[in-house]
Amino acid sequence: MMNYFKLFNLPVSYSIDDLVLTSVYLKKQKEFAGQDENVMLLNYAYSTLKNPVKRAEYFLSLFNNNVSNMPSKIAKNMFELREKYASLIETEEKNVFLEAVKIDVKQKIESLSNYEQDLSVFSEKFAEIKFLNSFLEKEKSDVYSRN
Amino acid sequence: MFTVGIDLGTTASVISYVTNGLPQVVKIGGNSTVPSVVNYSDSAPIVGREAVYKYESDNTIFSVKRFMGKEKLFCDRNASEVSSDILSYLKTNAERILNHPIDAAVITVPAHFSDAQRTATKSAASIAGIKVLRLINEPTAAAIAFGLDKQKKGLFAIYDFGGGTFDFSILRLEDGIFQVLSTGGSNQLGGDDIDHEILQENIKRFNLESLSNQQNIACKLVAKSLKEKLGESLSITKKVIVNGKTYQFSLTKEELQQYTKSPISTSLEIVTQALEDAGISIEDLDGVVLVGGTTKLPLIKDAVSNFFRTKIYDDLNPEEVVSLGAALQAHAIAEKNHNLLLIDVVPLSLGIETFGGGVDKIIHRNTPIPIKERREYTTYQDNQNGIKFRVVQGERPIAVECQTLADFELTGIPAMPAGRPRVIVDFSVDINGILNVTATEKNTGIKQSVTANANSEISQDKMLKILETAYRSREQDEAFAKQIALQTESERSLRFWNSIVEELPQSIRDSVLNKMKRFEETLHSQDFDNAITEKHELEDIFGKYLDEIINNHLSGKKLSDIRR
Repeated sequence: MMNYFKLFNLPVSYSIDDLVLTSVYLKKQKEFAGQDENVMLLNYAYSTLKNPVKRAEYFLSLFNNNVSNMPSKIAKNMFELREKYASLIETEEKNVFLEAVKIDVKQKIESLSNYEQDLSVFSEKFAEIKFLNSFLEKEKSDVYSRN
Repeated sequence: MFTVGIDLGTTASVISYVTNGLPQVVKIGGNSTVPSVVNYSDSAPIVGREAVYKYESDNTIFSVKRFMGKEKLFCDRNASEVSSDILSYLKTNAERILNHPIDAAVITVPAHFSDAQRTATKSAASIAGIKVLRLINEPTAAAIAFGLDKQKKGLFAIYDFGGGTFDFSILRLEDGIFQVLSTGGSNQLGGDDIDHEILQENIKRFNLESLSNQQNIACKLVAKSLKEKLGESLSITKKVIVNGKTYQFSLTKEELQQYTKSPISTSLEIVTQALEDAGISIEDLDGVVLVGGTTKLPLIKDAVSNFFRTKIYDDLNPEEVVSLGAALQAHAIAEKNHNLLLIDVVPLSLGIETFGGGVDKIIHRNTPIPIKERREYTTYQDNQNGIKFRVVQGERPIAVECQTLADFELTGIPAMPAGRPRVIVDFSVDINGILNVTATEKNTGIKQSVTANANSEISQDKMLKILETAYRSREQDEAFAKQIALQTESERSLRFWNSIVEELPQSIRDSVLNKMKRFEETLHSQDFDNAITEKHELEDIFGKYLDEIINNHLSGKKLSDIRR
């Protein structure tokens, strides 16, 4: 299994230099032009590292740390979040709530890099982000869909 | 080699060439754009303005581009043949005006055009006797027209507001590579809608309800010209003669403001989404290229420049810019001094219908292609020997409201308890946008695969429609999505509760079992209001014991063991 960080000449670390990622990506695109299998892998690796959530999951997987079981403390918080959302009636209220969750997730994602020295904390923080994201995925509205 | 660039548009087409290193539009009959309209009432096809004025509902074909690569026939001709008449007209007239035979052309297509649509465009050219050097994407052509490909690097947006469609793309440029970061659009947005409003207002004013088709077209052209000529003035009028009577059609700045308000805000909503999809903010953009006749309107131009607050590339005619870029690209290819690499994206999300009618998105829109993704699924029932898969495309959370690309079934799964089989589903999209889906059961190796064109089932037109519908019926969607979510979630909860109900204290177990049974019935009768109440009640009960059950599971004990 190829290490995506190494593919892009990046150190194996959650925090990455976006500019390096993209510039190496484009360079390799030229290098691999016409070689579909390689470009496919390159695109996959790039999409994985480019997206901070996918990158966190991949980063953890490198240390065999797969987030499948949610710590029960988080599960409880999430249950409460859902309940609270379900209790809202007005669309406007719901949108405000979702917007707040969205901002919260964004901040949580941004602060993930602070925890990469301690994988168990990192993994717990990530589990929470993952849950919140799937909650948003289901409820959020963008110009094309209300998921 | 003498080459041209052709923008074969939905409402209008343009042909250009390069002279002394500069691209130039060929003006046919004094106009740089030729309406993409063909009339077949005569022995020879009539193309362009003449066809518009000769309007007859049976023999006049408008917007044939929307049907490229489809079966549909117009006056016994398919879309490629009709388009070839437009291309022939452009070629013949350009050769006459330039007094030079044309050897080859670059023709532009929308970024979202599928393989089938591109093939249909190529065949239109070959019927017209035009050698195609290359088909290039419209946003790329617009960027080339401004020489953006000559810059070392940059992040550019292409805001394309045409007659009938709106398209928006964000391109990153670095070292001769155009990377499409995201795209978006709507086919419900266009200058035609604005013309329509102007026309309706004047029809109402003069009680002109019973216009013939031809009169209607003539009046609409007047409405369109009012819109185009208003400029910075406060109002404008134009004479129209209907049935021998003269009317003064008019348009004020305020009216136009009112008519453009909603199209502008919808377009900016799409822009905002595309920026979010690309993961960039407005300040990151180095410039915005304006394309399409509607962007000529000062109201639109001002709104766009106020919104982006960055360099606006508008010093080329937005109706000509795509064609000019195509001419430059044709020239560069002929001179063999150019090689642009374009990284394209998946225009609409691809996924699998889940248990309960939802959608599991596997490849999200705007993922670069080619790409491969993998998911794992399992069975819901004991000894289930097959799994049906429905491959869908679209942004809606409900499968029935997405486009079905393929249905297939993986059969021959050996008898196993529910949840045991491991079915790996691989989605891959190749460089031409062709999707291949393979399902493999891991324990046995049985396999089933299906190929669908991620684009060709869906014309650009339809694709935009899907996005638009997704957007428009958001509200009604919500209730339906909720019911499905409730159903799925409830079934999941019930399965879960069934698996742990034995671990509840004996004292409450029977009453809980009864409640579960009643809940199942309520759910089955689609009485969603009561189902929610009953579900919450059960959740409360299980919630009370859940932490304990989980903790005991973690330490290998069952709650019922402990209580006993």
